[in-house]
Amino acid sequence: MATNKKNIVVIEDDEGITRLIKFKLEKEGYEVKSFLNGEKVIEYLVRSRPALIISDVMMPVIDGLTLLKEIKADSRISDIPVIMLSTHSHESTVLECLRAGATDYVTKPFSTTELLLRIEKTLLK
Amino acid sequence: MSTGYNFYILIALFTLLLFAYFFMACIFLLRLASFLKTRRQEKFISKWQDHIFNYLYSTEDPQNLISRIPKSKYKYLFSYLRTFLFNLKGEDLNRLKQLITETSLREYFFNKLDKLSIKNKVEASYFLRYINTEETVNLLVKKLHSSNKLIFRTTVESLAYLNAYEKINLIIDIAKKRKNLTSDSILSIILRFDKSICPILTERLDTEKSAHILLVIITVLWHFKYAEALKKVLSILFFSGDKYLIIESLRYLGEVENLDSVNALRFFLGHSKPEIRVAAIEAVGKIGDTSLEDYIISKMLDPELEVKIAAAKAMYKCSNKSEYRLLGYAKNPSNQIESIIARRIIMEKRILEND
Repeated sequence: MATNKKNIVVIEDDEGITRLIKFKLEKEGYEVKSFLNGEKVIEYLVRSRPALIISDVMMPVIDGLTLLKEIKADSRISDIPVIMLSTHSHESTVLECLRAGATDYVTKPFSTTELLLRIEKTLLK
Repeated sequence: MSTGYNFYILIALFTLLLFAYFFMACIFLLRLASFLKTRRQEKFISKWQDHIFNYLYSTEDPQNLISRIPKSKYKYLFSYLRTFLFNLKGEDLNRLKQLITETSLREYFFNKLDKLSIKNKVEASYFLRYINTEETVNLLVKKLHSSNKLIFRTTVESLAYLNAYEKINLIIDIAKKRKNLTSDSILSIILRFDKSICPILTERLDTEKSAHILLVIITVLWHFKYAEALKKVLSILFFSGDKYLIIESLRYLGEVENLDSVNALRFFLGHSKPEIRVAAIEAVGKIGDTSLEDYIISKMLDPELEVKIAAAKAMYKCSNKSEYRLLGYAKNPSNQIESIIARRIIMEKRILEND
């Protein structure tokens, strides 16, 4: 269980999955803000400076990789850890995300327990 | 203009107007139906979402949850469950599966499979994949004979999910008889299974008479890189006169590095048909066999353009010697076709490598 209410931002275009992640994380004591695509996220991230970002790779409007690059290029938020979530388990996609600055990578189908453990591990660093 | 002529114009205009109104009314009704469906789905989610999520992370009896959801709302439940069944794994997925395997939904789906409606049958065959029993497999097998393409496809997908690989011959036999299935559709259906189907498909190579099924089988064996089928594929390669079968078999050889396959590739590098020479060169490039590099280098002087291009691509990755020869062509200031091809291939490959 998280000690302080840490703020986590989830960017995922599948509403069902977003709700599930939100439910699981809120149950563990996190505060969660969700977005269905990467548009206008940067503005929110700068304003709220969350403890962690979880982003899907394949999204409409702005894809996850582009968003990740934008986050890492912005000095105000580049230090926030980002966990990427995607159906792609190809090594090239994983490497591309990690090279772009992602802290971790979770592939779908995924387990919410595994995601939670990765979040906790990332936040401990 | 006569009065009769005006009358016909009026009738035509009236009919057109009527048709336009009818068309607009249809669109409006369809949009309304879709809007209402979305609203009902959203209403279902807002009411039941937390119950489902709480069940997922507790030890609650799955029947307890299912009993509380009215049967009239099942279609929204199933549509909601599909997303999670597809995206989750581990304990989350097990808990979701229990909603189907350990509740009244089990019998519900078994009964639904025998309903007349196609929608019911498709839904039942989809969800039955989560009940891994012999009874389910036998029930699904019966549905393979359905004349509806969607029921057939969903049933095969469920059998693949249940890893009922021993049913693959039956699936292919039925697929062969269906006129609305192309080779590509049959291939995509078979590829739902995992590598376990390869020994059965290899056996089938001996008896299968249809060239397009043989082609599909060799593609599947190539996809799974199933080296144990080499002898049988070699036999098809040498005894079949079908150009496409030969090309597909050569592609398979490109995945299986073996002395027999190298000898076969050497033979087909000299084939009279340029498409077959291209396939053989690509296979050599794939296995990177240096014993054939002189043959590949010589193909740069082949009379056919596509063969020269394939040779240049293979030379780039085959060995240092062939790459050096390719560079030699590229550095040649003459604008001979071989030099132009070499420059283009080297440029393309380097761009891709640096990307």
